[in-house]
Amino acid sequence: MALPLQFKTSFLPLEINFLAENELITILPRVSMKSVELIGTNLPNLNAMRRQEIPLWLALILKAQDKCQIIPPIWLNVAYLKARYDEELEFPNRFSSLPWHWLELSKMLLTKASDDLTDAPHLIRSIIQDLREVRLVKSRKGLKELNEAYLQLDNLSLMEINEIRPYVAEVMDELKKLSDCVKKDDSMDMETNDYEEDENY
Amino acid sequence: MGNYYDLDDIIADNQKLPCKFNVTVPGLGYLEGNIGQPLDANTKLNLPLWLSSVLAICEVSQDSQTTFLDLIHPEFFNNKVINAIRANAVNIDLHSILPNYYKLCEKWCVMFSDVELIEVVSQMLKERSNEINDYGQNPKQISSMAGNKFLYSLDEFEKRLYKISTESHKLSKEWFHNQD
Amino acid sequence: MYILPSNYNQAYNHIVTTSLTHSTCKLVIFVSCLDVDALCALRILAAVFKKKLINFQIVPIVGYADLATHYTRLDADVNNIILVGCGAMVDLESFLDIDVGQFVDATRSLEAETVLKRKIFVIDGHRPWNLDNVFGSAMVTCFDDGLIGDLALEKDAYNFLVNIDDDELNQEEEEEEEEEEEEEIFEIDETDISRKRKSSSSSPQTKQPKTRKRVIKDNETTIENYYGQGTTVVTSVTSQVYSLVSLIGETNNLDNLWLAIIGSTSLEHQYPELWARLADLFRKEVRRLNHGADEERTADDSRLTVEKDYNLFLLRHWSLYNAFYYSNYINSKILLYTEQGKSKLNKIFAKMGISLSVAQQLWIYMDIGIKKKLHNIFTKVLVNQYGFDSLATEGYFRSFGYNGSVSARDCVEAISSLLEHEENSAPSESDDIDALTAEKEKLWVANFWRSWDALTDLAKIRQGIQLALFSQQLIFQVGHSIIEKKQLKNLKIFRLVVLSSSDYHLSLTAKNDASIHTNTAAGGRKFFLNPLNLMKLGNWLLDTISEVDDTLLPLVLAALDLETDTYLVIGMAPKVPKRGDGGSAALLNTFSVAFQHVANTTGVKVRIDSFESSVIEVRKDDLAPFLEKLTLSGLV
Repeated sequence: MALPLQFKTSFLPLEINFLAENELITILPRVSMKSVELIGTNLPNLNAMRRQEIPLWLALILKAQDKCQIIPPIWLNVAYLKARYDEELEFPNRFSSLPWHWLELSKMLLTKASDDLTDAPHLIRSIIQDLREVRLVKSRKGLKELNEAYLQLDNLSLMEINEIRPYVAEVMDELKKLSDCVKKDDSMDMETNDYEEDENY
Repeated sequence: MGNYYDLDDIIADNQKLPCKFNVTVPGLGYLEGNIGQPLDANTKLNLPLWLSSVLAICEVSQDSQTTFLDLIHPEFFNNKVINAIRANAVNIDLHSILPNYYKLCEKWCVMFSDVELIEVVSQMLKERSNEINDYGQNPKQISSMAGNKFLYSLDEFEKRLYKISTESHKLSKEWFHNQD
Repeated sequence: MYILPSNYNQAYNHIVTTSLTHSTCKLVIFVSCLDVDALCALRILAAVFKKKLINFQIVPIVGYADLATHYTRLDADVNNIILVGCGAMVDLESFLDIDVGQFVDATRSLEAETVLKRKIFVIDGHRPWNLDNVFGSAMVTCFDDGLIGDLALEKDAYNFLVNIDDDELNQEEEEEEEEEEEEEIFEIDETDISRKRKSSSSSPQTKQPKTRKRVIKDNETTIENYYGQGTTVVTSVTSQVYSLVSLIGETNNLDNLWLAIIGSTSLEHQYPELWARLADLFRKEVRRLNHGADEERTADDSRLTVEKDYNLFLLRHWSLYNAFYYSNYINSKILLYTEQGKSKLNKIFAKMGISLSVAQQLWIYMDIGIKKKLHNIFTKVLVNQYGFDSLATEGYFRSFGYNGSVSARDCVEAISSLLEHEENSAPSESDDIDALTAEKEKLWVANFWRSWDALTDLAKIRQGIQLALFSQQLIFQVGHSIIEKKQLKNLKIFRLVVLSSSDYHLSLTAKNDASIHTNTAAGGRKFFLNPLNLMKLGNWLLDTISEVDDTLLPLVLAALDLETDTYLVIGMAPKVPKRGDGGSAALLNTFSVAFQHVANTTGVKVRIDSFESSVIEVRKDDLAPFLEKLTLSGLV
């Protein structure tokens, strides 16, 4: 297909956003609703004031219609994120463990459900910015270890991986090609050696 | 070798390499400027890689051991360049040495396994690619003096790498700051 | 029919239940495109419908003819039509040629009550109401502002006239239509002279009892008087929409309140009593919604506050001196167009203790000490010594996080200049009047969408403010030259200003911002062809005159369009000079009636299309006879 290079090498951030919307999240409905069968997922029976887990995209629609309140996930508050941030600073060779979709979820909740968050949105926003920057710096450092066979960066989220994926893939490919040239010759040498041996024999 | 349709590969193949003829070939005098004359043995010529690599392997006839020509060690892989790379990989102007350095390196090393060259070049790639990634994350830096110089010194593969890197960082940043 | 403010939510529920579908669009909203008030109201409505996941279509229209064309193009699917900022003064059923029988839903109609498949809702502040819409139509629903209850007399008269016998119906109907069709639209050009009024046939007098005839005559006079009293705007559309929205339960939305304030502030210039009435309500709302605000500014901050504001033009966006110089209010008080006026202004600054160099700095760079003391200085000097009572008033400010804050008045100026400003004033090639008008209208629609975007975008509002600065300076220059050259003619019953082509070579050059492509030669010419700009100029002149001259005479302005050879003529009611208490009876604009009448009787070629019926276009050669007839008609 005639896709631009960017589409071929990695996901778009918007696509990752879309994937993240499928995560389950707890809501507190304000009205009762019967269950609705949708393609691929079902909206369960909603009873007012009783918590329920539904996919994020449904929760955002209901929230826009003022029909529910979103309960923020346990990791989306200043205390938890600050602890993670301190961890990052403490261990310069490791990434602290954050949920797989932390960037996308936090962004969506901050824009669309900021009144449901436990802490003030601007504080959360600033700590998320800090976290992202620290991890970016660390990943840059980690890429210095790039070799043709193996790279391990634990605890990166999907968005962060996606950002460095095209670059890393290209470099590793090239390194592999270069090293392959040498290896091939080794094997070829071995073949000729065998041949010679055969002849001698 | 496996990328028959790859444009970069085709362009890289077109790179001329110096070679020495081992036999006299009638009728090829025009390559040297003497039209109608035969091409004598031991003449040095620059021929494109796709031609010279085949002729270097192909024997003249069924029985003989001599090939049509021998490839001479080109200057972009000689010791001077290797030492320069070893000294300062990041600042070396790769584009002016050879626009398709990496590709050609691969092809050369397939024929003549030059382990030392491969090592040096791999190391160079790692260092330069880091630098490229750094510039990719801060696209404004590339317009500074140092950045400009670096940009012009990249060979074709590295340029592609730079483009990929900037694009992906740009998309990420845009999404992150978009307030929709 | 009409609904009371307390019942707005019924209309809303009806709309929601009949328009909810995912397959097609059943709701169409027509909106007047030169009206800041209507724009804000529409934005609130759009947000509400979007939340309910209802598909709707917004059609901005420039005039009644446009409305008719778009109406005929509507799909049969469309169940609900909302008219915002237009339609109150026109008998919609006959104007749009609606056959009510076509829309009767036979399956759901009961004996007493017919259920209609399609309904039209009118949210408009223009008065007087067309009584057919209010009392006579089952399809049209008007959003009342509480004042229709006062029309009991007219209601009786109307019902009476509608219900009289068949015999008398022919005769009476003609006369009735004569009265009620004051707002009929005429498009008279060379080839097609179509007058909708039926000439009263001279059928022989039937033997009617005298008393009955007299009763009929009385009723007719009531109606005639009702229509003849002149037009005005009595309520802002945004405030009506805001009350609708609060009734459905959206009570905590700061954005809606902000839009409502902007929409209502836009009417402040021309109708100060209206604003005074609404200001109270808004203040209470702001206090209610603002209880949680901290003192510090945060990045997410978007609060709405009530603070002191001054009646100076865009004070915070250029220098103090300029704000004084270009403010309508100050200008009218001290007659800035004269030399004494200018020196008086300098004296004022001296008395305030602010040196001219400080005053001419940009506001944002001005000394903070002076800014803090400004209110005291103003009260001491301006209010007490000079009697500028209305200088300090209340203003509403909205802050956008760290990006800055803007006042409602500034917003209004910004948005109205975005509506008025032409992006590329390239002269068009065609000569045909229709083509030119069509182009002009397309431009207005494009401006409408531009202003729509600006309502939530601070950067665009700033652009609009730059444009507003430019247009205010232009208006001042033209106004000054009008007064200096004594182009303001005082004809006994009204004042007249005619802007000819020579007035347009202005010496003002626009700051060449990327956003302002204003070529002064062409831009100046086309500037006053937009009714909004012409009205601004008229406002300015009225303010000035009201301070100088005690006689209250209305004002007629005419601007020449060289390309189409027509004059754009507007008539404006006189203004009482601004007093601190802000109260005085509304002076009604009788030009709508007068224009109609003159157009009918003289046969001059006019085009009355705009929603403000005091705006018409007259052919160049016909201007003089038109004005003559206007003076003689005695209807002004």
